[in-house]
Amino acid sequence: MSLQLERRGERTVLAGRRRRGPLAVQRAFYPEGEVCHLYLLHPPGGLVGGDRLEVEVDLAPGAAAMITTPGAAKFYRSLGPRAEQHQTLRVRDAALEWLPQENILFPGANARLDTHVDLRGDARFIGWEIQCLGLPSHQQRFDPGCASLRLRVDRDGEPLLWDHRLIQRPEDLDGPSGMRGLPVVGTLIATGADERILRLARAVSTMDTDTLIGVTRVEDLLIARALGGASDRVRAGLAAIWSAIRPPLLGRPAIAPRIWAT
Amino acid sequence: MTTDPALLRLLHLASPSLPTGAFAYSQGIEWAVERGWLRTAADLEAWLCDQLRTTQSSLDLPILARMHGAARQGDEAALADWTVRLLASRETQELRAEESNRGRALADLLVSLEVPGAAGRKPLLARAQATGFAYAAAHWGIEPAPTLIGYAWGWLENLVLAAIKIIPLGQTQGHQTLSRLIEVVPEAVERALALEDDAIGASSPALAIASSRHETQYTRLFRS
Repeated sequence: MSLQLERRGERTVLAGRRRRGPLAVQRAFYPEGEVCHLYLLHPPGGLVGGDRLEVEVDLAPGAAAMITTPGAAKFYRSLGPRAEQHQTLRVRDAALEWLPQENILFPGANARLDTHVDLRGDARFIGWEIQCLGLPSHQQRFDPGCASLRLRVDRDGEPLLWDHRLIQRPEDLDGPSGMRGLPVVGTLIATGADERILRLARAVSTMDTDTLIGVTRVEDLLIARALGGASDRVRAGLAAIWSAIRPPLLGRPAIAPRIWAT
Repeated sequence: MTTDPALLRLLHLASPSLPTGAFAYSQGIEWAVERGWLRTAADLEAWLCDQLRTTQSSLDLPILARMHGAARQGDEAALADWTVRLLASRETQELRAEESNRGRALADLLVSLEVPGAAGRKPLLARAQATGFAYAAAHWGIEPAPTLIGYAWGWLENLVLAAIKIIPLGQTQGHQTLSRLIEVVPEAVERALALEDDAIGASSPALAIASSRHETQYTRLFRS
């Protein structure tokens, strides 16, 4: 599926949409005026081996959008072939918030999840990815399981952040410098961050025994990483950072999308 | 009797006496110790073994091998591309700063050793320590596998020496740890040399969190 967002007068509109396959997008809505809010709907049945989802989002200069998903994306057990999800987010002189709910990789899944954020010019971006390996609420580990999880951020064609997590063996879930046996890992990134934004993000990044969070900044990119036992806790940790930095970065109050509460 | 000048050059390049300030960096160990993740020699061994099997074998070493090949062939563009990609894969500000600070120190040294071409390429070599290491190794005729072994050894030795001070551990325990980890190095190097371009990359959430938290750790002796 590919979505083109453009600014028309005061508002950003969904100017183009190409769709093939099970992905869908709901009608745009405008709870805060000019920003285009979109819900991306994953196939209700989840993905199985051999499925391939492609999402392309293009923001033209001046556009402002917030994209989220009403539910988790599910990757089911596969007896061989790999399920793939490729997401490309192109932002040129525009502002995108990309805040999907988590990807759940069921035990036995074989999945590759790629997200490529392609920033051009004065692009502003706040986004996160949350991966849940296995079903922690049912005490089911991602074992067996195979996952290649990639996040790549480029600015004007130059790599800014490349992150590639590979899980092939059960011990890849337990590495003391890796996941430490915690099944949920989340990454939030935000552009335009200075020292003040970094301090704001750190001030709300409190850890407990079950959820670890660390925030750093490379050039103007804020990077927060969270590792925890449950998706909702990891998301709450990242959402607290989003709430703290959205007003100074985008000039808008942070009102959580209603869908997160359901 | 044969002599092997390349081996001597490798020993020099991997020596902890190089002025790259290796002893100033712990790569998150200082915070991991404060947090209670690393208390014993066994904890340290598991921490470093994990990184040998992940970050080293699927990020540092395969990129080093490509940098070495690029330097041998005089392929400046490839050397620069892999340098940028390595830096983009360093997960925190401190880890990137370490790579660049050590890169600058090594580039200065290569220029003063009159390694041909180093002076003209100093801006590139100074961006990452791995770049200068690969460039020097290629110049001195060190083969790819020993180049990777030397780099991995230097990385291991530096971190074990840092951890001995921080945890703290005895010198003998440190050497026992090093001795056991040496056995993991060949497999990391072999994996690195066999890895395809598309598979390169790593992500260590706990290490990234430790390093991020270290950036504001109240009492710290190390720069990473």
